[in-house]
Amino acid sequence: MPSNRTGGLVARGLATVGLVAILGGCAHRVLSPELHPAGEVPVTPVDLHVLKVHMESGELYVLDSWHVDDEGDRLEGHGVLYAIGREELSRGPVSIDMREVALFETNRPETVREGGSGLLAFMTTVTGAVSVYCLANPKSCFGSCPTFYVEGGDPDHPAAEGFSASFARALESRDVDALPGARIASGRVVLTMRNEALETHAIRRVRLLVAPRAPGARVLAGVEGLFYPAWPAAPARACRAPEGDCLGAIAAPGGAERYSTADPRDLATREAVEVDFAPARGQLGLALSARQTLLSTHLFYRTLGYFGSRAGEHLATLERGGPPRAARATGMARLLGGIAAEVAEAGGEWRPIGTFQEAGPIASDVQVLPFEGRGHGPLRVRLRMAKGLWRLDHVGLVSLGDPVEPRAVLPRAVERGLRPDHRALDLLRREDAHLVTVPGDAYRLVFEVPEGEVELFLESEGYYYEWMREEWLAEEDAAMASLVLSNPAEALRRMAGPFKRHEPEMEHAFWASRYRR
Amino acid sequence: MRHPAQDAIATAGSCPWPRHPAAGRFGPQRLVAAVVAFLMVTACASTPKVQIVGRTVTVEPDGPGRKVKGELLAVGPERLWVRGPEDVTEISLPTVREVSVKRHSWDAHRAGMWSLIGGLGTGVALTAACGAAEADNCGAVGLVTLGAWALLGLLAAPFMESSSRNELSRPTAEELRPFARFPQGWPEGVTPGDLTRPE
Repeated sequence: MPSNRTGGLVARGLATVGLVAILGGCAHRVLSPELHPAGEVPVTPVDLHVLKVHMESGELYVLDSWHVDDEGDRLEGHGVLYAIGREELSRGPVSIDMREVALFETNRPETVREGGSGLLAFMTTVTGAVSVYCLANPKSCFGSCPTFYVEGGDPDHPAAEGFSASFARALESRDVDALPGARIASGRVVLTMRNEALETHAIRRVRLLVAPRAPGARVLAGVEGLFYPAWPAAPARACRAPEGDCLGAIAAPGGAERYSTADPRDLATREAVEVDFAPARGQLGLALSARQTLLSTHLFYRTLGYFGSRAGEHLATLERGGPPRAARATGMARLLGGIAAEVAEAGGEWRPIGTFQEAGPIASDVQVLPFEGRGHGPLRVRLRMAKGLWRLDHVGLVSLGDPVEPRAVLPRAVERGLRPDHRALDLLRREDAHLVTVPGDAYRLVFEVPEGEVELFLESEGYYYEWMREEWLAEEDAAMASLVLSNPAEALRRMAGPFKRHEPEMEHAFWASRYRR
Repeated sequence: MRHPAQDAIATAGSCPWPRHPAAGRFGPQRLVAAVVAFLMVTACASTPKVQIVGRTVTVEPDGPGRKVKGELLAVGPERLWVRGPEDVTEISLPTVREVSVKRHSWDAHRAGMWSLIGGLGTGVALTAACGAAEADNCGAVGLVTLGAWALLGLLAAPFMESSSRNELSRPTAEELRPFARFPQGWPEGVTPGDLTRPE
């Protein structure tokens, strides 16, 4: 999972800081004094360029420069004179009678190493950095929208995000996400559904879709709602992006991701990535695994900020107006769009085969775009997308079988706080009601699934309401709010500058600071 | 069946990324980097300064006598003088079993204070951040943070205490002299009583 990789990078970075701090970065510098008889003026300073001159009277000179005069009976230099009580008496040029000197003292700096202060320095660095970031971005540390975790999988990263695009009831939608990491154990699959954000979630339905799988095959979800058995057809032979070769990033799932940065003048600016495959014919599919960058979420929250104190009013208007009104409110998203795919064989013309669309930056989703391969020559794929909006994990060519019908499995049991929650179970199994959750809620959903060769998908349906934050009110800008609705293209141009200022750090900062209860 | 409008907003609404209240002013990563750099520099890389007074020592006598802690003023062939908060103590050198000379100030006490301040500071900060984003259980965030700091402080303290001192067993006058305020011995006309008042 891409987030694992990023999280791994962050973890390695913190481990490196810790190691440096413990092994050497936090060594103490101490001074080791050395005494010299009065007749032996240390001409060459010993590391530290300071000479202490102890006088017979008990007074002390601390000199930062010195030399013996030509006659050899006076020490000239510059420094500070202290009394026996070590009060400062004078500062500046000095001329010391050598006969009154008791002895000289130099101090050699030394390094004392120990692990304790390294541990504290590491803790200070890590918790200090996390605290500062979390104070600035509470939500990125303490929550994210409807999330699903696979029991037995990575507890720190959700396997899927539910209906992330449905930020109002008028936009209630069904969302299907592949669960490649889910395993059937003792005939059960267990998911934990969390509300980790300042949001109210209304969940109409959560089901597992269990698709039969032939040996050696995968089952991939198509964008039109069908599920296809898929076999590898041909690996990518070349990948060309504006920045150069991208084959290493997209050749295999789970490796590096290919992404770009947004255009500094217009966030809707497009770019194209071309991938070459060997000739292939028959019922083929372009398998795409991708997630969004944080561009879309940045725009969403910035827009809420523009509406500020009137956000609730606008949301209510959107609800009353239904999907047509919602469409008007989401013009920027239309302009950004998904990943539009085209194919061409040999020197033939490009033909569109569909658009990959998946909301959310947390978990990559895999979708397949079916098309007919004619085998006329090398197959070229062109992916057109908004610059800086997508992280491509994998682009592959697969052979598709006839669509299969997955079996929908409702939760068999729902637990909350280790206790059965029959009401929640009833609400999730019915289709005419919603289970409403608030921040901090977590439900353990148990599905009974027979062991066998199957592919699992999560189907969730519902909507959510974002809670307004006080700090967003400071961003209220009626003119920009109006522009977002009336002229989204211009809004995307004006919002490019503010986004670009944060773009480099968003992804890493997000995963670096995430905090899970 | 997805409504076209739902497809249209599919790229607009994804929750996890917050609207940064300081967007447009400074980036969190830069801020974090600055804080990290500051903490590393201030916590670790302090430059030593030459002391104008004697080193702090703890003198442990043979037998049941009490330990004496304070500034080492002077060392004679058979005696040493330590200036405590109230007065100057004269100690017979042959009766001294061990003298511990302070090398740096990052001792167990400071480790404890640092852990307490760090635990409270980051615990409160994280609890506040949690409270801004969640409805409940934020107290646990603060407690866990404080607990982690306490545990690390307990682990670190013995190491730091040990490295903060240079322990000299049955030291000679020559070994101790470099750490005294008057390594040359008592100046003529100066008595311990001249140095008893706070400076």
